[in-house]
Amino acid sequence: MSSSSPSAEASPTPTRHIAVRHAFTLTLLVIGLWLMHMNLRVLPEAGVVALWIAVTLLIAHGGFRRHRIRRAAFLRGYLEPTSQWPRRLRGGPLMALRHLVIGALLGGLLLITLARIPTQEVWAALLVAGFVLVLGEALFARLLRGHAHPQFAPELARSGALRVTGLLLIVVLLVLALQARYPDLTGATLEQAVWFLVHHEAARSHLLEAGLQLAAAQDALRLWLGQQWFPQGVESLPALLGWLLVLAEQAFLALGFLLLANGLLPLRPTNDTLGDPRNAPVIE
Amino acid sequence: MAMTAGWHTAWTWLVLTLLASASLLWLASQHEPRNWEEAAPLTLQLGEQRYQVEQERLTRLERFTLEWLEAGDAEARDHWQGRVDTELDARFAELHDRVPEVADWYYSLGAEYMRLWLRGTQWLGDAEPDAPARMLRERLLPEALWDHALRDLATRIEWGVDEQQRQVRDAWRLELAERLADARIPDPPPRAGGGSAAEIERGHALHTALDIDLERFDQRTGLAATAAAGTGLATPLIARAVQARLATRATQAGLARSLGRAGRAGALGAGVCAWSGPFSLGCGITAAGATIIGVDWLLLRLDETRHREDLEQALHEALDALHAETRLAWQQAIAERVEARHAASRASVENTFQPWRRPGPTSGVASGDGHGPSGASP
Repeated sequence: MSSSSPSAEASPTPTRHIAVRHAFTLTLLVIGLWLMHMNLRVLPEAGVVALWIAVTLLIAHGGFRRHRIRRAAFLRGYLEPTSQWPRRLRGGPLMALRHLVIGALLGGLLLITLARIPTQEVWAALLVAGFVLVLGEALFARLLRGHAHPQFAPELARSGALRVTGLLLIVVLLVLALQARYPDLTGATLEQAVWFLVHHEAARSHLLEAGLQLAAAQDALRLWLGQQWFPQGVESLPALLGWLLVLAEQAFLALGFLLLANGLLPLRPTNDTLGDPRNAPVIE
Repeated sequence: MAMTAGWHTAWTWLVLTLLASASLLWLASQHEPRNWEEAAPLTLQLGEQRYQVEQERLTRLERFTLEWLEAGDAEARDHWQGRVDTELDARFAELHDRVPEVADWYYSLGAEYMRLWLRGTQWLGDAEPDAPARMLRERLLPEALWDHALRDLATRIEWGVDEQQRQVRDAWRLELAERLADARIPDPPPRAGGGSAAEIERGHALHTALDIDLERFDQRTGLAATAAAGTGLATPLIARAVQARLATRATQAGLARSLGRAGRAGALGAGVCAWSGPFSLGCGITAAGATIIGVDWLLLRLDETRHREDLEQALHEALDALHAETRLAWQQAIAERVEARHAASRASVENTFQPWRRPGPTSGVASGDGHGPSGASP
């Protein structure tokens, strides 16, 4: 971590480059998501399916990549390098399939959530979250330098940054959701509430329309329950917790966005400090 | 040197990032996401019930509705036109039966002197020219059998036509509700408001389209007015028929001939009473009066034997003409009445079922994102 070491002197420029490049990439990602938000409802079926596949692949790619690194760390810790098992267990089609399934689920949810984003402030939140992710990753990488194994440090840094950013983004989205306006469903039956919200959801793609209507139906159920339980809004701590529970679906947007960013951004390369005597394995 | 270039590149990336972010935020604040409305289903409100229907299905329902209305209204029109025919036939048969009685009256002394009196006043210049024909009409078409009867008939038919058209629309509503049973949706939440105002207004339009208040039609094409016009038509028709038949009648000679007849009768009376001495004046007047009346009676009988058949024929013809005219007027009035309501319903139905054809305040396709500016914030 000393700034006087040769490796540390060479690092600032490429590191800063990476940070701003990543920040720019994430800005482009948010712009892309905004364009999707603007046009999703009028996209034909093929367009929606193509977007879904792209989002799925991106999320799966990021998840798969990090999972393999974590698996490698695990295998290195527990197995002999000369064994054939580390190679067999390093992660193959099964792991890829698992991430594809997760990617398809989260990607679909992300698309539906994107089409239904009600307030403009969300875009500022996503932009800022993108910057926080990049900065957090740089910060973690810096903090981990000289402490973590260089092969696993990028994953660790990304993981830490994702967790912190995810937490912050969810909090911000929840605050925005708490301040948003919703139809007043007090005095209505559940059937009325569901129909009222489902009725307004329309899209050119039947697939997306079905998804939107499902989302609207569960939205109606949650809002209706929320307004039945806490008709006065947030007045007390239990009411606040209740409303946070009702609006918890905001987490899907945060999760989808961050996993998408994770797939889009290559892991941050770290300087190999294994040669550094400080990093020599401690054998007692 | 490389360090400076690196910084420049970093700054460039940073500026690009900030520019892109600012553009995104500005664009996001300026534009609303595009909505897919082309195939959005419409909401119909029939009475208290709301339905969500695809546009294709609405087009089919529109055709079905128009056919239903067309058939129902045509049936109502035919039914009531037939009914009017029957009623008028019965009414005129009764009037035809009155013709001999009217002819008896016509050839009575009382009627003759009444005509003489009218002719006298006509000669003096203060009487209506059609007075004899009017008297004849009053005899032939007494108020109880004609004016009142027509007014009653008009009221009955107006009510019946409206009732039948209402029934057609009620049946349509039931049929439609049955057909739309699978498309029923619940009412919107009572306090959600939002984008449902247009729907409700449109639904209201549909509801009233088929239940248009009758006052509008009473002002436009009242059958009572037709009945009154028929009454007014009777006098000239009778006058024309009677004149055509009895043009050669001697009574055209008028008052002068009657006076001459009276003079001759007076002379005759004086001659007959010449033997009676002091009572000759009274006797003469009585004899002259009796002679006048007798002569008039004889002349009337003569006239009756010669022209009664013609008169009866003329009266029958006048009644036939009146029958034909009245029938035509009533048929037209019923057709107009049915058509007026049909056209109004049709226009409303077309407007209601395919609102996108005519952009207007009540015709917008209801849409909204469900997050309208109403409602409670948690």
